[in-house]
Amino acid sequence: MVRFENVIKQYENQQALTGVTFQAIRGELLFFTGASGAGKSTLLKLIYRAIEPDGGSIWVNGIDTVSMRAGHVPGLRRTIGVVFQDFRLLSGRTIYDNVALALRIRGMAERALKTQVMEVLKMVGLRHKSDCWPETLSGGEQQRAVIARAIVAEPVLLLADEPTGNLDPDTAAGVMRIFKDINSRGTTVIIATHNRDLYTGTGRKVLKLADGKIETETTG
Amino acid sequence: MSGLRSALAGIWKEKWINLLSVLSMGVGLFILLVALFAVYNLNYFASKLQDRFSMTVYLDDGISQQGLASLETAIKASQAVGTISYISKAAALQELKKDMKDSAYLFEGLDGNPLPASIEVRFKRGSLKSEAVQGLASQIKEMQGVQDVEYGAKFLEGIERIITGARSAGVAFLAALLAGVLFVCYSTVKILFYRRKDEVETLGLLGAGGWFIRAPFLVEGALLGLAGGLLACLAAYGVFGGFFLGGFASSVPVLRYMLFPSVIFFMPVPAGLFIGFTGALIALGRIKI
Repeated sequence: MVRFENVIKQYENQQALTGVTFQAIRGELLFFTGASGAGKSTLLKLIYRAIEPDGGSIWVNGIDTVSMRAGHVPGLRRTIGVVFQDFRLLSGRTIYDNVALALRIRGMAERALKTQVMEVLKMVGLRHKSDCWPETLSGGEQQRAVIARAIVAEPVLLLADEPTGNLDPDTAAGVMRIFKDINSRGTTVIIATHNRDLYTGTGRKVLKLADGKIETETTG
Repeated sequence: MSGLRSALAGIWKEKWINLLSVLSMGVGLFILLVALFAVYNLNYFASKLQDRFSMTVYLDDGISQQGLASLETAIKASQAVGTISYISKAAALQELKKDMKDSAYLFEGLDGNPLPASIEVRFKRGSLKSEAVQGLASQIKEMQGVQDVEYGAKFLEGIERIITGARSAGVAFLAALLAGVLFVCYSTVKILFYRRKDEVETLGLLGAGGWFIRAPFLVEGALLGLAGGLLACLAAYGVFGGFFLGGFASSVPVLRYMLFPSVIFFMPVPAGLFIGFTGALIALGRIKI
């Protein structure tokens, strides 16, 4: 599903990744952990090609994304759901429209997408907030709205960057339940987090990043 | 549908900058409309002047009926010639007497009729070119039974200069105005695009293709242009209604003869739509998404 081979990424004067190799198989729920600046977000951005590596190879869904033409990047991204660390909810649109956007981008007709959007909003507990503007929602609600947008198109791969960064423990546990639920339906889920509680006791693979490399591979 | 909805949301979100753009484009299109009316009327008056133009072919006194008929046929054969009319010697003298009735004493004691018979040649609208007329005059002069050919060469050249000058100036002015209006729309869309850079970036990260991202901006540009065009139309209607129909025109003689064709009146609407869309297309063309 996702394969990194000796991937290197450098920002101006800072080495973000210094040769990362790992593989996430289809249907897996995988955690990346590590201190701030360890390279977790960089790694996720490389998967959905928001940035390009300075070396190494990356395969996503069997496609070599390093040599991929720029015109094919939107197609790759449409197979991936992303829960952004900074949410990236569009302020001029309601929660419904923000979630529906993921389906509109995929060309789904308005009539067909309504049911799907409302179902996902119900799943994350935001059905009653569908007509609200993002800025009127709490941090936890915004987080769930982003998750709804990421999963509404039923992507084969879901990436979540610090999905519980600003949430209280109860809300964080609720968010984690959603990820497990999505994963149980066959979606590969990769979560980058520094929240130990999120992966402890899950029995899933946890890769710890340090100094731009995978330091340890454990089971949570 | 999604593009239209996004465009309307975008227009509302940036209503002040959009309002300024619509006003600027409206003013530009209004001036364009006034310029179009000016060019149209200049052309109209010039063509009216052309209608008054004629060439006179003076005939030999001894020309036979057969010679006259063949001469008329030869003149009519020219593509540029519209109508011809024969003026006999008697008719020419009668006309002269009528014109000079205050100086009737000049004709006292006149022995016979010194005026020659003639053929008056009028030209088809649009085919009056000084070179062609000059060529035809030389050709007719060589024909049998022709004494002389006269036409207002300087008058014709003058009209031609007015038409050419007015057209060139009009085209240059219209092009400059069009470019100005286009630039307003181009700048607006570019500003809107950069103001919504985060949104554009998010759309890209969610997998939106170039045209999905561009479409709302193109619709927005077209709608702004359309609004500017409607504004120009309304302004023109106000000015036309207030000044011309309201009696102002009757106090300025030249305005009484001016024409305001409805085709030109509504031209700012499609023009605004087209300019708005084109401006947006140019603005987005070089942006990497």
